[in-house]
Amino acid sequence: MSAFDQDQNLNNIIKVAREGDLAAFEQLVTLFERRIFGFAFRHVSNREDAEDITQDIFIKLYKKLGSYDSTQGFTTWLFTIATNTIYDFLRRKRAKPELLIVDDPDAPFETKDTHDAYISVEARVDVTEGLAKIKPVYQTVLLLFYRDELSCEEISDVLKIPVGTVKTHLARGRSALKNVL
Amino acid sequence: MTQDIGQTIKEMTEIEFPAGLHGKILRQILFLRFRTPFLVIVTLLVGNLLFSGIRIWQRILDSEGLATLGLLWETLEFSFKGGMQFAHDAYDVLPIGYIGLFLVNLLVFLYVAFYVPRAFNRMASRKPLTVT
Repeated sequence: MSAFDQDQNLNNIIKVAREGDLAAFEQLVTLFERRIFGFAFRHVSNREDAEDITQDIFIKLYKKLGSYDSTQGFTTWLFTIATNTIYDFLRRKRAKPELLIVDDPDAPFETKDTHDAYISVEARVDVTEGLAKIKPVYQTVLLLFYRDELSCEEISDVLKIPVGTVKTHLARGRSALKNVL
Repeated sequence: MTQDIGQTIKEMTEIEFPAGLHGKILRQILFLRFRTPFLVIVTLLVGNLLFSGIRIWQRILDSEGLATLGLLWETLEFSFKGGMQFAHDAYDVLPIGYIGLFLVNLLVFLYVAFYVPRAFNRMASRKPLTVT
């Protein structure tokens, strides 16, 4: 199926889903659930949290589908919801610093900042772990650009920032990731 | 190196999608979709059940039903005629319609309370639709 036909197919599914057809909505879920879960997981590095976030994203999608503006790309719009949901989650976590409990019962409890929670305890650093070490907005831009193949203009729509800022984040994200790898 | 970074990100291994997450998502959506009618129906059924129960109890109290039914039971003749007489006299204390309505309400409530969540789970546990 050509890209045009795929777009037409997606538009048809969206149209029917907006009319309340649950089977069509399920098709949307099936189409995007893996990408959304992967996107969420790479931001929070925790499967349970990523599952909760993924559910929240699709619930929001269901509630907001009626207000979707078809002049905007659906993928862009969905990733806007996804990004906002992930950042809301991260902000809530930031408000409640994580307690890190170590195996040694005599060791004191440590309070870690949420950003530090991204840091892996393993010495080996690969790309996944490297991404977790850089700023969330750099993670987002790198993932959307390379993994989800959105253009800078689309990323600008997702994050509601200028295209120039997207390009800056892209460059800085690459540089930051190079430094940690 | 820029190309390598981009290529490396592209080639990251796919995160394994959790089994059961698709079902969880659909269950939540189904609940959202049918929450209001489900709550309205359950509220009406519970209200009706309580109302039927209160009416029966009121009727029993008004006609000193418990004492009457006790007396009828003590004087019951265990035969077809005796049984019919008991039913006839008991009907004066508590019309069969009241009992019938209460039992129907109870059955419908139990059906909705047990069947609907299982139907939700069944709908959410189907294999994901194949998207063409």
